Amino acid sequence: MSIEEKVKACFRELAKLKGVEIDMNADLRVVYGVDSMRAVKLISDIEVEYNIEIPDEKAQQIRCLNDVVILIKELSSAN
Amino acid sequence: MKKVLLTSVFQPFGVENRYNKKGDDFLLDYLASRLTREPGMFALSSYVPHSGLHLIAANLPCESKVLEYPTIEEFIDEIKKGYDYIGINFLIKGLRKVYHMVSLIRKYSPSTKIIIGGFGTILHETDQIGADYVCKGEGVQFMREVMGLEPAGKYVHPVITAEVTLKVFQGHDFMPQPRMGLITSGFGCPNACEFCCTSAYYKHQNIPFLKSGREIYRAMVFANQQTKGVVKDFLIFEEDMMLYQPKVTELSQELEEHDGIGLSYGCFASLRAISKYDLEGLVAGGLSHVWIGIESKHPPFEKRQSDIDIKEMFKRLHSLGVTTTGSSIFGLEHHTPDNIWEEVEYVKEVEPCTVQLSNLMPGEGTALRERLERENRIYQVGFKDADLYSEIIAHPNFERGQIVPFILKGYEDIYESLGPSLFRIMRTWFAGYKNLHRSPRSGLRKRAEIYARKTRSVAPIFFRTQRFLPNDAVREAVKETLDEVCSMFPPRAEDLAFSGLVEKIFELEVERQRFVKPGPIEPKPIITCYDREYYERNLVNFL
Repeated sequence: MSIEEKVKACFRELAKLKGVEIDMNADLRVVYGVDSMRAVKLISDIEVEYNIEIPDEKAQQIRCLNDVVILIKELSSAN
Repeated sequence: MKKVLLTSVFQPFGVENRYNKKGDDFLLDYLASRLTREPGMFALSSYVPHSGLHLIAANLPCESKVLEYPTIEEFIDEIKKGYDYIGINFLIKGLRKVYHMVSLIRKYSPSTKIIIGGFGTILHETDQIGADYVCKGEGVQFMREVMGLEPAGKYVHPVITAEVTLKVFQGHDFMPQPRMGLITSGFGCPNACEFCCTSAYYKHQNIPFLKSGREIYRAMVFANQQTKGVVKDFLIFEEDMMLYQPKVTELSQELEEHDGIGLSYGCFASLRAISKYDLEGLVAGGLSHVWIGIESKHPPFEKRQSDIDIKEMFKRLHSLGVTTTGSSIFGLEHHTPDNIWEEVEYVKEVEPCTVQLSNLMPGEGTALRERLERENRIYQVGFKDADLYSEIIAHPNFERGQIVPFILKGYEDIYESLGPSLFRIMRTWFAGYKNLHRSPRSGLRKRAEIYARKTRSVAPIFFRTQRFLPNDAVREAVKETLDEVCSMFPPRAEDLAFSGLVEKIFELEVERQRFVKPGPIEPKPIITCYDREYYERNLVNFL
């Protein structure tokens, strides 16, 4: 499974969006109603899945799922 | 057979990061960070186990393991073993760690059912953590229900103990490390004080765990037997225990009439509730320590209302050898920069043996929180800031950050005026001995003997360490008490040898502090296993 697909699956599970097409560029807060605690959950799941640590200041800059994918690639290659 | 893991949140606590703020490791030491928070060498130390996890584990007829303060690596190793259920206990402060732990469980053991519990679950956000169950209240029945067992069966009380020692003795295993037993009598409190998290968490109800004084007594005897007589002193968890007169009276009777061991207990009580008792009867019945909320010189709480003045109550308790904790709250509405120091002066007049000074904390779910939120007076802070020493209320008379310095200065001032807590404790035991050893009541004479033993065990700590006391006035007070103690109980050879050892350790600590930069002190990870027969085997002790 590609990183994009995994992130999408992770978010689908978290946001309980079974069968709904996920827009990777949609604003998580505006479109999907992701509040700060749900964002923490997403970050935590991603960190554990990819064995990375996303610094809080970078996590705060995440607007959409594509931002998450970019971060994973960046941090994984740094590791 | 089902397998259950019950765990606290992971360490480290002393590393400043997304999970912890500076000094969180210190807060785990319930004596050194709160009740004997003193600048000198005499501060006591005690890490209190997660009683709730042990209570649950002991009351499930299956294999269960309690993990306290694991490292993240230890936690991962454990979850890989494949548990049917993993329960995580947490306070609000640990919320972020719980998210991480749940993610780890989902990754390494996807079929495990996850339960979260503890005071942290009062947060609305717990629904988003991703646990299968959220336990908001008493945990034994909840877990039994989750596992498809009969929830309302009998309870056993496992042996739960905590070390109590001088902080400077830590790491010196040859020094005395007495153990105190911890008994849970019940949860919640009907006093419904506006600020109280415990009361709010249990919806202002009392939920008994041990139903009678006899059950408490049996739990104490059981712990004493299981520890081969080591544990004789207990702390009973029950908010305002003195509200439950039949329970207390029965416990007192059991301890006065049947106890040949000399068991004693400490508890929490409000001034109003304890005022209704014959104090001598309580002492003969094993009361050895009581925590009473002083709260304020002008307390806005009903539980402080009583015909007896609080200073008089503390004086009477001390005269009977009962040691005390007095707690005071800073940042109440009526406080101003001009009057807040009166609280410190007032605590000094009440003269408790140990003291808790804390900031008014609007815990989630409390009436105080709701009121302040309505008034838009809560600062938005991270969950890791949820502790007694964070300022999160917009106070009408203080700028943010102005209150906690009064608390810290207050602790120092109390130490410099009244001397170390350990000294006040010893002096109280000695007073109790002097007043009770000729009592016509045999139960009180028995207590006097215990006080004498305790006084003699602590006095040598001061024999050769008086230069470490804060000033001449305190040194004089300590010397005066020691002279009297020694005239009544001439020091034995082992007392003198022990006093020499204490002096060496104090000197070593001074040197250590000169050369070693203070760093975090993490608690030792602890694993406790309960086998599947534990419940059945020990039920007989409680029926």
